[in-house]
Amino acid sequence: MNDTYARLRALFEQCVDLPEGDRIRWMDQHVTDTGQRIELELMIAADDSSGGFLQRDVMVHIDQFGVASEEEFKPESLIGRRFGAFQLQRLIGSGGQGTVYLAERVDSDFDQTAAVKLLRRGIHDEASHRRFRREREILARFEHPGVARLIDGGVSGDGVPYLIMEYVEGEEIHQWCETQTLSQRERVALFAQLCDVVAAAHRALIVHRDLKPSNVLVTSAGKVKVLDFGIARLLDEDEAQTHTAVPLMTPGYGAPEQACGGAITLATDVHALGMLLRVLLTGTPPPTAPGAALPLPEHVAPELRWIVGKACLQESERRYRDAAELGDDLGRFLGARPVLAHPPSRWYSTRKFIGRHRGGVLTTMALLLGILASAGVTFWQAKVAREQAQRAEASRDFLLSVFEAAQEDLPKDTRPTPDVLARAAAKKLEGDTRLAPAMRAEFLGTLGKISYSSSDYARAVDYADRAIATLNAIGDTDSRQHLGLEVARVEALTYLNRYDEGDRALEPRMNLIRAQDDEVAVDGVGVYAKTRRRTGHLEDALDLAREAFDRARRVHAPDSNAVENAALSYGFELLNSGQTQEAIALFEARRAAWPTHHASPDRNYVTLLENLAHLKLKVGDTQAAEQLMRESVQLTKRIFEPPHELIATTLHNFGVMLAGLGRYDEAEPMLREAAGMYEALFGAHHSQTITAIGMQGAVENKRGRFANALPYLLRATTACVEAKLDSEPACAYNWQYLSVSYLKLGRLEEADAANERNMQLRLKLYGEKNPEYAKTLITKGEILVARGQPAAAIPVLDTALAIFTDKGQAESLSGANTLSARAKALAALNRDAEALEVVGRAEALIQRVAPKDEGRRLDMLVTRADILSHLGRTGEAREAARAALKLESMRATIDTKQWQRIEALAR
Amino acid sequence: MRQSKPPATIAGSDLPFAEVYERLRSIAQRERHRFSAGQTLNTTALVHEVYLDICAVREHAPQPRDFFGYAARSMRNLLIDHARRCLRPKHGGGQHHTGLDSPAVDAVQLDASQALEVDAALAKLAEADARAAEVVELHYFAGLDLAKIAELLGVSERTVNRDWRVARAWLQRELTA
Repeated sequence: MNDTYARLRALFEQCVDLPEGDRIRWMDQHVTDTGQRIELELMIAADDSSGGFLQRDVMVHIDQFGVASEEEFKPESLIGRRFGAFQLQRLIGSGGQGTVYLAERVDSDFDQTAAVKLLRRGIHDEASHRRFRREREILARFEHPGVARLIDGGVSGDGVPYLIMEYVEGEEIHQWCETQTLSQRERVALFAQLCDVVAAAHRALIVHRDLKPSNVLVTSAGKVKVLDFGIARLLDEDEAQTHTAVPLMTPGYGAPEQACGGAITLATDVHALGMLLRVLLTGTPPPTAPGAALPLPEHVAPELRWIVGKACLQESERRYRDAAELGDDLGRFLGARPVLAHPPSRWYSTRKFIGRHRGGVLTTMALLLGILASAGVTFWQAKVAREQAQRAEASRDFLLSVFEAAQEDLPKDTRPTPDVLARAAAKKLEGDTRLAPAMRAEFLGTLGKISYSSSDYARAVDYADRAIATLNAIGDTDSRQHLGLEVARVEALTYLNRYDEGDRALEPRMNLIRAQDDEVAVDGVGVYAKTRRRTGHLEDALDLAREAFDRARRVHAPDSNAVENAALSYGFELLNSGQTQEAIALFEARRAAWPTHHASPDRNYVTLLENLAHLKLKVGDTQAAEQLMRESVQLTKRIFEPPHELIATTLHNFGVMLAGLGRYDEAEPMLREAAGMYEALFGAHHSQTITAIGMQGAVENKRGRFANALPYLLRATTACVEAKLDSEPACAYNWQYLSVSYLKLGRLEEADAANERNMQLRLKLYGEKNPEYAKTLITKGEILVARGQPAAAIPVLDTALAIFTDKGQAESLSGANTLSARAKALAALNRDAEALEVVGRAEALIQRVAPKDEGRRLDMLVTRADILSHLGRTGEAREAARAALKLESMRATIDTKQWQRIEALAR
Repeated sequence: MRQSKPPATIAGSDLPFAEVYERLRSIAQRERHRFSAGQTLNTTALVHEVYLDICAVREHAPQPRDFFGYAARSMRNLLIDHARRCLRPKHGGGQHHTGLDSPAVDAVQLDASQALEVDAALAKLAEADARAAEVVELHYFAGLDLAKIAELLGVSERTVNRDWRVARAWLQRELTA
């Protein structure tokens, strides 16, 4: 109860039964607020009145409205009206869900015919609108030659949702079988084609929910076309509220869990497919009462009877898991191999009896499913989320739905988090010893995915461990399910910085993992690429990432997230091995292709933008980079709720970029927010937290506040040592920043020590021909100059420059840094003319790649002034010194003695 | 997240399960009859029937509070569906059917817009006072009398009476405000 309401209710109850005169006096005394007084008076008046809407029986209202609205809707009256780009031409049919029209495109020159479906149910509130849009996007993304494509959809001004779909001419499948007088075998073959189509949709996480003859057409070419894929979910108004929702379904084909509000799974479609197969085999409509399935007649082959039986089992978890499994079994039948389905055993019958008479098992299952399926996330999504490709999306979908549902029912701070839901589900799982092990492993795996999605990687590992142990206990050590769990476990490990452990765990399993071309192999190779890189095997990582990309393209649809992920990883490895141009080309191609493959941007798109921005920055296109980063920050904030890893990452990356562009005041709050978010999510010893803290130190360095930088950098490097992160790039960076701070503070011994650690780490991580390693050479050169050994510095800096040039990165900040250090070394060697020439090149380069970096400009002007004065060209030296003085805001970046020298020169 | 109460058999309580069941069933039948010949079939109502038929014979029959809540929600949805249909602008250019211009129809339209307001107000009440809103749903929409509601919710009859009286006055105030 909120306070205003509670107060109003209390006042009402205290005075409503007083005689009127007393009541007015009482109110004068107790109700001083005018607004409240008015509300109270209104309530008292309402209490007195005998009329009002609520006074009449609701049935009377329903009848009254019903009669008034009965004549209102005439489907023909809509012909000629426009929905989207299409104009309704004629009525094709109408049914439970709505009315279907043939329509023609009117907004372009080419003819396009489509079916427009107007849905019965109006969409009037924002929540169902949002759900409608989200579902529509998911459906629009799915394309398959066997499925009538969703072209467009929306809600008309008066709240009528409509869908525009590919128009299909064909005959309903059972009629086709009759008119073509197909044999039993031919029917099964045709039906297997249907299974393939449905299986493709299942792989894309779309469940049909309403498969029936009128939705399965056969074209004159004999090809199966499925209509209305996933449309039922669009219409399921109660879905987001409770798991006892009753969705739309067609009697006779609908599965028991649909009728009784159980979780909708892939097996729901399997049930409908089973009923449909029965119809094709017997030529008679299905029995409408569930559980009353009559035995199939004798002329149907026994294997087919078992297959139909297994597909139509009451308990969804005992059916074929998806259309692919059903199709496989039919394939076995057609190939005269033994089928998986078998006649009911005595054991099965007994078990069924126990199930019927012990409510406990079912209740627990229902609860568990209810929790997982809460807020209408159909459990199949979580279950199929085993497929790495779709994992992120399925999990996000899950999270989103949970949040959406929670928003409707609860205030923000009391909403259950997915994590809480998962833990509750795990506890339930623990308590029920009667669940089959494979099922239990499946559940645990799913819970692991949920934890993984909520960035709780330790728990994800724990769930995976338990799932693996469950499978081991039944002697299953090498199944794809087992291998999939192992891969998921290692993936979570990598987020916990346990790369070595993950790498060791995967290495002996890779042969098995690679043995098949499936999603487990795509995942496995991809994750292994990551552990190889993080354990310093960069070449391996690049090869593996390429392999994962190739495998993903073989296993998944070209526009799937799996392929997108694999492309990202491959591009990332290209980048890591210094092949920047190749990586840019790859990413730009993916970005350009995005709108043709996807309805809306998502997590992958954000990552794509960021990586592209990173690359653009590397090649000096700062403007493009900034724009890409801004877009990605806005996107993540729109997609996720804080604290979220991805929000932290985009903030951090953008902060880093702004700092790089000299916009420190904009950068600092972003970096601080990101660091806080990381620490809250992962703790102080995590590489992300260390990166973010170190970055704040780096920015202090940039601003010339070297002493201020020390606490951040010491904290970060100490964490690196404590957590033994001896192959962590973030640590390398922190050692580098620390060495710069010390160098600028004149603490050269400490600077050299820090840089040595940086060099060792980078040598191990990247190898000696890598630009990342070359950066440590710059610092080395600077330290050598500062320690009075400029001659030793020159070859070191030349090596660095050669590496940058070789990798096409000479045109960069690092390139400028190298030139600047080289100029100083030359000046220190009294090779003034050469030094002056290098200063000129450095200044021009800085002007190109970092025109706003005043610190660097000042540094160069000071160097120039020094050299000129040394050459006795006092006039020019004075000019340079005066230009330097104008950059007084950056004076902290150079030491006091230098500044005094410049002031003297300027006079 | 909605929480269910621990299982209790329908048979063991004297809640008017059959009565509400019949009420729903008759609505379902009437709905189907009204929109005959597959023209504008009301699926929500039809599904109710399917639901009842199937779940009545299954072992995990709905728990009382779920069941009545479900019944109330169905009625509420039905009311809203009908009211919206009543109010929806006529398709095809806004011309009115002459038959619908009568004062009687206007009265219906007025009530229909009120029905939508009641619905919205009830949603608001549910945020401020969940139990009172549930009482309204069960009493007004599911047709349970207040004593039965007290039994169902496990609170005293006095409490339910007070909830109903406050809720009714509050909702009425929302409509006039």
